[in-house]
Amino acid sequence: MDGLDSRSRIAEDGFPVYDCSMPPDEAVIFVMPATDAILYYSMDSFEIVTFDALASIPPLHELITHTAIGGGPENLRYTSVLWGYLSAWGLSHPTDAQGEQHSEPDSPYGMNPWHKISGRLAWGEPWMDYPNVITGEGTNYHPTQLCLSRIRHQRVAGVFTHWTEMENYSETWDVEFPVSFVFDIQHSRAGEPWLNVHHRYAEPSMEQRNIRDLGVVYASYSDDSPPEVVWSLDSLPKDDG
Amino acid sequence: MIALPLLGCLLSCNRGGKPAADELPTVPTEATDGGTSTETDGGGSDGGGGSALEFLRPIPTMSCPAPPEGARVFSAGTVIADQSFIYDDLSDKKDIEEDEAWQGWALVATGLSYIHEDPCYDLAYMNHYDRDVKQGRASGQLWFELAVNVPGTTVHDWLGVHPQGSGDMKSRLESNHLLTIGWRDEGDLYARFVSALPQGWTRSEVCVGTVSPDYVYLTVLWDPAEGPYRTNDWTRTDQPIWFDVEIWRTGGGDPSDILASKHRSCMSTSWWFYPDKADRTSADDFFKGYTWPGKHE
Repeated sequence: MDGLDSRSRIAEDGFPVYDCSMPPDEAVIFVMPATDAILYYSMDSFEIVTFDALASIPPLHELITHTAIGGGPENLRYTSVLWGYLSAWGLSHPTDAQGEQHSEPDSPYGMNPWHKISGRLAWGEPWMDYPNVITGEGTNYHPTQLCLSRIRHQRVAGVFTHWTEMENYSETWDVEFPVSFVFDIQHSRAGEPWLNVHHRYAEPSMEQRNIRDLGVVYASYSDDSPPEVVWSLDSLPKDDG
Repeated sequence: MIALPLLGCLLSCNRGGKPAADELPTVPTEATDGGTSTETDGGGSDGGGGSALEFLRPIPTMSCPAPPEGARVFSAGTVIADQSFIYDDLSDKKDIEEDEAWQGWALVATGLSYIHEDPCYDLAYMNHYDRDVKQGRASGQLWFELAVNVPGTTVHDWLGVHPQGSGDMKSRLESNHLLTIGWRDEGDLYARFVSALPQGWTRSEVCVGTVSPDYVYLTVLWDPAEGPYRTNDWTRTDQPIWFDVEIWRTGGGDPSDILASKHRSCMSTSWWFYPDKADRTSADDFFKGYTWPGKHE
């Protein structure tokens, strides 16, 4: 991405954070409180292997049933979802992937990080039939902007904005307005969910978590870059620290 | 034994942070093992334990700020909540190595600005609680979604005003929250909503007036900051929204009106201790020496 510039600063934890552009004034803004993701880290790369995000707090059921495309219309109605994956490489530290970039027709999925992120809106009439905000190629291309503001252990926050290219507009699939998804993918579950949570006034089952939560992030690290190394302040390039 | 009028006042007078804690009497209750009367220090996890007649102090509460002038104000009706009390021994853990390591209080609460005709436990399934608002059958009403995590190990840690932090819901240093409020006015084609945004784009705060295993009171303020904020209907708004929420445990906890609270408020309470300790066996252990509204016996 743009790397460290005037919009980067050192956060309270000692690592850099990037100040993203505010969503466009005309954009519909969705904040995604619930997320599931798998993240991969090494000292010179960062990857979101996969993620799902939901624009509402899910009920007492598996988050995945509410974000899965095949989950059926009722599961997705009156909310929105975002999903995708991302890969950044050639970094000096995973936080180097922070920054902001615009797509171009000849690089619809960005440069570095390369990303393929899609969303669907299903929050009531007139958008009951899953209009998309999918980045495509050629006649399906629509401009996007991706900003990653904070990459941390089990966490990545940012904003993904999609503008519909009206020359490529499809009434069946596209929305005619910009959409910004504000996400903060993180491991925010309180406590171990399955066996060790004691509870009162709730009846857990295999299909129900004991309590509602905001999702799970699984983190994986390369063998030569364990988390205690990556997230040591000594690991930051000198210019960053 | 507790005098009935005193018990009645204890259970119904303290509406979570609304009256000051010192308005409530110190109440003697009989401990299960009999013996002499003793007053505990009332705080933290060391209270109780062996005294015959235990004096339970009212749980500490906090008075929350009033809504700002000009704000859109409501009191929550139907509410569905899940709270967790987490104690994880952090003493021998490094920050990164222990993914789950956190200690504090976490609350997820969703609800409405009115009392839905259906009971909360029927509305929780599949998030149907908000359908009337989103489908336009409850004009002028609002729905809300709130998640708040507050680090700490005592009720004193959790009380008070918690502004937006850096967004880390497992932070050991600061509270954080997620917030969305929505509505659908008459004539609107679809629901609108506003959310707490990061980077100071909006300001919001959660004030915890009372926290206990059976009863929670809090206030929530959403402020468009330097806005105005443009909703998904491209409607500009510079009006703050403020609401307060009384949350009773599932099954009805308000002694003054159990049926109504059972219909209106569903809250599960969970706790998780690592490692499991003999002196911590339930969420109540965070509250030894205290009594609180609707206390589960």
